[in-house]
Amino acid sequence: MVVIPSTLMGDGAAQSKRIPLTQLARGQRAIIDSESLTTLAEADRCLLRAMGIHESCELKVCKAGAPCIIEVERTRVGLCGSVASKVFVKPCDGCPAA
Amino acid sequence: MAAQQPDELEALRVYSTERPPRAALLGQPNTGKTTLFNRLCGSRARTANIPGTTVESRVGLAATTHGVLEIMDLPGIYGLSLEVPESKLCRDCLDGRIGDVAPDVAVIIADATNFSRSLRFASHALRRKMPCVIAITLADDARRKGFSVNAAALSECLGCPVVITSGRTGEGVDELADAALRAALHGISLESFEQRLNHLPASSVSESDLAKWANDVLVEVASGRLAAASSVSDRVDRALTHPVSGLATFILVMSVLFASIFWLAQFPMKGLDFIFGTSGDWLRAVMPAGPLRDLCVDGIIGGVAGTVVFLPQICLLFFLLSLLEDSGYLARAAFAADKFLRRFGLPGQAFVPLLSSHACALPGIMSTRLIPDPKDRLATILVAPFMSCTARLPVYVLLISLLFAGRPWLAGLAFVGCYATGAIAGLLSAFLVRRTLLKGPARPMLLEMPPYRRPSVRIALWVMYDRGVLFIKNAGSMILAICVVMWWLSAYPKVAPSPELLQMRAQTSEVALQANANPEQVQALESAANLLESREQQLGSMAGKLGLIAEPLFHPLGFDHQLTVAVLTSFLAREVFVSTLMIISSTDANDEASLLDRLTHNRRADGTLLFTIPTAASLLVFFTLAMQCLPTLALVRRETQSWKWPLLQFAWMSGLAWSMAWIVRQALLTGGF
Repeated sequence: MVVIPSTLMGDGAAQSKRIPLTQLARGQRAIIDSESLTTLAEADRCLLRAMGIHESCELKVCKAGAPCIIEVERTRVGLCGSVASKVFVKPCDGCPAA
Repeated sequence: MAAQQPDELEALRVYSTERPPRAALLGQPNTGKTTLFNRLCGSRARTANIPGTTVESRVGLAATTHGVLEIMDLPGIYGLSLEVPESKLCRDCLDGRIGDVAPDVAVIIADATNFSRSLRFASHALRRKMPCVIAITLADDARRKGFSVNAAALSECLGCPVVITSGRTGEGVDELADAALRAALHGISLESFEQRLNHLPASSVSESDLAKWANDVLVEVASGRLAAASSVSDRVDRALTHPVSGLATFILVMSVLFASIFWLAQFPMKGLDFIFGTSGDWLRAVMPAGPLRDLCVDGIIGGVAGTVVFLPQICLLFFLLSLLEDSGYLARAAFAADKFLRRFGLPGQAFVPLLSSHACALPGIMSTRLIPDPKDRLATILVAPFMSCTARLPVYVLLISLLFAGRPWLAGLAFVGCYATGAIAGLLSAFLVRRTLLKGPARPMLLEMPPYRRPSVRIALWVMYDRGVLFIKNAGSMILAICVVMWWLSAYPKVAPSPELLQMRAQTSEVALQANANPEQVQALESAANLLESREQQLGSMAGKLGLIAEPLFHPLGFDHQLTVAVLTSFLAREVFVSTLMIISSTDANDEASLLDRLTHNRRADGTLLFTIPTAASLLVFFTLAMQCLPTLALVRRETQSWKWPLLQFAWMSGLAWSMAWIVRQALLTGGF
C-alpha cells in the first residue's frame, strides 16, 4: 500500500490565496503555486524541480522562516530566505500550523 | 536470471582480458552511490580528475564471476539535463566526449528510501541509448522502515535489469557487478532501446505528469509505505539551523573537531619528525661530505619531511569531516554559517575550509571540494590563506614578545588582533573578488538535508586514505620539488670561510686539544662557529644575494638586509623566518630568551636599532597578511589547474601586506614611536 500525495490524485485541495513560503508556519502543508517558480533564476528553478519541488506539489514546512526547511515526499530541502520568499504557495485547507 | 551459455561465458572472459568493460555510476547525491562504489571496488579504487576537467571521479575495478569491470563513480547530480557543470560533465562522459572511452553501461542509482524521486531521475537517464542497469540502494534501510520493491516487476516496467542492493551490508553487490558486466557486453540494439522508450513517459512531459507516472510505477512495483520523517528530526533541524543555537552548536562542533585534529595530529607528527630526523642523521653519518650528501639530507629528506608533516592533519581532517557529512550534520552547519558569510559573497559551505585554514591552509584548500559552485569554491580558495595558520604562530610569538615584553594583556590582545586582521582581510578580499573577477553573488543556498544517519567509520577511513594518497601524489610532489629548489637557492654557491670564522675554528681546536679542556666550553665554541658559518652561507647564497637585490623594496617597511633575507627565505614556509633570524643574529637556537635579547639589541650597519617598534609592528602586519607559503601556492595551482590564480593570489596578498605594513609603520613613526 503506497500513500500518494493528494495533489497527484487531483483533488484540488488548495483554494487559498498565494502567500510566500516564508509566511507559512511550522508543520503547515501547502501546494506550490503553478506560476510561482518562474520568479526564480533558471538554474535555481531547474534544481528545485530536479529535487522534486515542482509546481503543484505538496510540501510540509519543517522549519519556518529563513532558512526555511521543507519536506516534499521524502526529500528535505533547505532554502535560504532570498529563495523562500520568491516561492509562492497555497496553504492546504484543514492543515493548521503546528 | 537466465543461465548463461558456455559460448557467452567464453566471450566474457576474452573481452575481459582485452579491456575491462566500463560502467558509470549515475545517481543523485545522498543516495548511497559512493557507499555502493566502495563496496564494489574496495581498495581497488583511486581518485583522479576526469581528463580535461577539474572534477574528481573515483575509478575502481570490481571483480565479477566472469571477469573484471571498471567502475567510474560520476559526481552526484540531481538531473542529467541541468545546466550545472556536474550534470554537463556526466552528459559528456556518457556520450564519450571526455575521457578516453565512453562507458559501456550506465548503472543508475535509485534510492529505495526516496523511490518516487529516484524513478523520475531514472526516467531521464534511461532515455540515453546505452545499456542501463538500475541499482536500488539503501534497500535494507527501506525494508526496516516497512517499504520494499519488487525487482522483477520494476525490470518489467522499465525495460532494463534491476538489482536490489545495500552498500552497507553488501547485499546484491555481486549480482549488480555481474548484471552490469552482462549488459555492457551485450550492448543495446535499436529494437530493445525502442522497447525501453515505450515504457517511459515522453521527454516533453511536465514535472507534475512525470510525478504521476512515477507514482503509478511505485504503486505497481512497491509494497508497504515509508513512515514520515520523525518529529525528532524536525526538532533537531530547527535547533541546528537556528541563528543562535545553530551557530553555537556549529562553533562547538568545529572547536571539538579542530581541537581533536591538533591534539591527535601531534603524535604522528612527532613520530614523523623522529623518523626523518633519524634518517637524516644516519645518512649524514654514512655518506661522505659533499654536495650529494647535502642534497640527500637537506634537500630531499628535508623536503619530504616538510611535505609529509602536513599529512596527519590532512588525514584527520578528512576522516572527521567524512563522519560529519555522513551523519547529515554538515548540510545543517552550512545553513548556520550561510547568513553571515553571504554578506561577503561566500556560501555557508565556505566556513569549514576557512576554519580549517586556521590549522593549515593546505587541508583548508583541499576541503573546498565540499563547495558545489565553482565560483564560490574559487573565491574561498583565494581567501583561505589569509586565515592565521599554525605556521604563523612562531612568528607572532617572536614579534609580539618583542613589541609587548612584560605586558601580557597587551600581548594577548595583539594575538587576537593578528587573527582578527587575517580573518577580516580574507572576508573583505572575498567581498572584493566577488564584485570584480568573480562577479555575482554567492549562489543562493538550496541544499538537500539528508536524513540523519549513523556515520560509517569504514567510509571515513576510505576517504582519509584516498585524500592522503591524493595529497602525497599530486600536491606533495610539487611541494617537494619546490622545497629542493629553495634549499638549493639558500645553500649555493658555497661561501669561502671568512677570517673571523677560521680564527674561531682554530680557537675551538686549540681549546679542545688542551689537557684540561672543558667539554661544555668546546661545545659552545663549536656551536658559535657553526652558527657563524650558517650566517655567512645564508648571506652569501643565491637567496642572500636576492635579499641584497630586494632590500630597496623592503626598505620603506624598515627592513634591512638581514630581515629581507629572513623574509625571502621564509617564503618556503613561514616558520623558517624564526630559524633564519636565529642564524643571522648568531645566537643559541635553543634559548628563546637570548634570541629575544639579541634581537632587541640587534643593530643595523649604521648603528641604529633594527627592531624598533614601528619596524617590528610593520613586520608583524606583513606576516599576518602576506602569502609566505610556497606549498599553499603549489596546491592552489593544482586545485585551480592554472597558474593565473595562485599568481594573482600571491600578488594581492603580498601587495596588501606591504601596503598595510607601510601604513602601520608610518602611523607609528608619526605618533612618535
